[in-house]
Amino acid sequence: MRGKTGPKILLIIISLMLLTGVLSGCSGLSFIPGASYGYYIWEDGGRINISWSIDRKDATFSGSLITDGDIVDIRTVAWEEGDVYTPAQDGFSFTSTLGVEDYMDGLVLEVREYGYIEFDLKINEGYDLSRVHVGAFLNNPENSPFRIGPHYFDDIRDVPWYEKHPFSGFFYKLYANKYFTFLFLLIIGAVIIELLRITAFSGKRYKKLYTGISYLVLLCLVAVIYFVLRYFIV
Amino acid sequence: MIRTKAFFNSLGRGLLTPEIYDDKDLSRRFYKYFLTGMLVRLILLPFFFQRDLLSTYQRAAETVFAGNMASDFHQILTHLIHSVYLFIIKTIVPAVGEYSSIFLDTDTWSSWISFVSSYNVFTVLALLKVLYLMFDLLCMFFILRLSFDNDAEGRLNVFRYWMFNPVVIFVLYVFARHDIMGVFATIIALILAKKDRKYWSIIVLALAIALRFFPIMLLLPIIIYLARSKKDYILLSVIGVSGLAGIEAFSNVYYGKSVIFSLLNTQHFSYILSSKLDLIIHDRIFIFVAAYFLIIFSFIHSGKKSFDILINYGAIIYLAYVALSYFHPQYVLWTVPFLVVIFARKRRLVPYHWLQFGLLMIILIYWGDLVTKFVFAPLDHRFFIYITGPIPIIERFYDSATFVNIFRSIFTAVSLWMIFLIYRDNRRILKQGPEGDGR
Repeated sequence: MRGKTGPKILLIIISLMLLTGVLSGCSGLSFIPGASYGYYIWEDGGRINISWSIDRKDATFSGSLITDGDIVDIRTVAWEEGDVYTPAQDGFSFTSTLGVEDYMDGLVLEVREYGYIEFDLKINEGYDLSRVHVGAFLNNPENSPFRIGPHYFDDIRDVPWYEKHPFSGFFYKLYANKYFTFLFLLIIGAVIIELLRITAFSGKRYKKLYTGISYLVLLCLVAVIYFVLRYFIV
Repeated sequence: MIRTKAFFNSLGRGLLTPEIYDDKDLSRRFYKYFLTGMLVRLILLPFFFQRDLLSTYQRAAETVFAGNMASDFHQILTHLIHSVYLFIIKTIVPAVGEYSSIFLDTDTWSSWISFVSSYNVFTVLALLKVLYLMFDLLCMFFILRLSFDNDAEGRLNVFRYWMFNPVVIFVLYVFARHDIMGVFATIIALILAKKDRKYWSIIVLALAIALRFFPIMLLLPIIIYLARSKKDYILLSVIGVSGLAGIEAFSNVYYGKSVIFSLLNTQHFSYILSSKLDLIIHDRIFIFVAAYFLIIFSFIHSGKKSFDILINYGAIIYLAYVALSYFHPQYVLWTVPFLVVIFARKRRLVPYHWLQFGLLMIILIYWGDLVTKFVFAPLDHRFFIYITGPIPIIERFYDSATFVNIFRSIFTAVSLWMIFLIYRDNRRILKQGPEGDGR
């Protein structure tokens, strides 16, 4: 029995780890050039990375950046002929095209002593702010141009996982549906306890006691979930 | 107290069959399978769906909220069941009634967004899918009676294979499609055929055809199985097509248009004719049609009218359909009532079915975001709308159509191999009788 159960538990643990990894990876800021669509802005080693990508369609990405700090270094990434970078007094503007064979372009810059950096980013001459991910996936600006301060990326990094997508949306709906959620949890819990009663507790001397304790644990668990959702997450 | 106990005992025997209920070990295993299967179903119930579920209930809502009876005349019975069910749940649960504006929104994109982003989506989605859970429950208790009349262990295995069938769980609780209604009617028709209630069997099959049209593929084999005389052949054929004829007459009288010709002109019917061999000028062979009649001739000449042979041929027909024709993922469900009986006899077919399911999960990628990432949208609609879908990722490295079709071809190979194994099982049944070799 142990020989059969071991691999199953291992498989479940590995699957859960993979799932957590995938989801947390998605809620961080990773993208696949030539498949993902939008602007991706993140900080790495004190440098600000701005990359843009589209799913192998012809598109123009254009915009500008201004700051009250000093841009001490700026580099283009995967820049091709026809992509334009124009320096200005307190920043720069750019126009870049992507296509079937051009998966992504980007800029890496180092800005010192800044109080703000202001971005104005367009896709095909229009704004699609849901496609502008700043510091984390789906951390979108509400307006354009938008500004970030000096500790912006640190603050984003400190946001706990349950306040990031997709968990934030899921937990919000769980709490908004609270009567359903708790009924649902009680039913699921009752089915699990019933399964335990006829398998793990079966043949045990204090079978009824174990079952009773399980129901108590279930009620406590539901109460804990309610308070966690109510006071910590939503 | 004694009366109550006697009532529950007779209820238990009625649901589980006396052979399973009276055997302590079997009834405990039955209960374990039931609970585990229900646990999986319940966990999936409130969180996932494919856009077509909303379309189905949107048509029902037009009847319930706007009084439009003609909102789905292609599948009148299925539509009526959904309408009645929607009427009941909106009466009992006020939250469902609040969704009337979403249901009646004719813009497919905005109604979908409104639905998946609504804060009550889990409650409403679970309620909408409970209808399929009810039909699934009916199927799981009736499938017990489909075969293995003198073998309680065999019946329990059939039940187990249904409870843990990946296609059943996926189609009903992840995809949320309504094929289960037609499947239920088909199972009843098969049970009646086994009991030699030939006219009732064909009447129920006609009802199943009216529900989902796919059981029409079973009409010929069941008539061949049941008919004992020329009169039987004529009568059973007439009753068999009566379901469709009734619907046709109703649609002509009520809606003033033909449902059959409208169906023949829809793309769904063309799926059956999708695989073809072009010869010259207009000459063309429809591969599934040719294969279907080959299967029918093989059934006619199988030499013995055995119910197990009928079940095998049912599986062969639907496997041939998904192997040779264009299909939607939920159509694979039609193979399951037959396969679960065969699995209890020939366990070595089970891994091939799981392989089919795994391949199906890759094949469905080609239908795009609607059947892949959008299925998860109720969890967090913004995340699953903006996350990169599988098609752009595949396209980044390789042609997505070719990629999917490689797996589609393997799916066809697996299905054809299963047909071969089942066909070989026919010969064993004819020689030795229906009980299984357990392999």
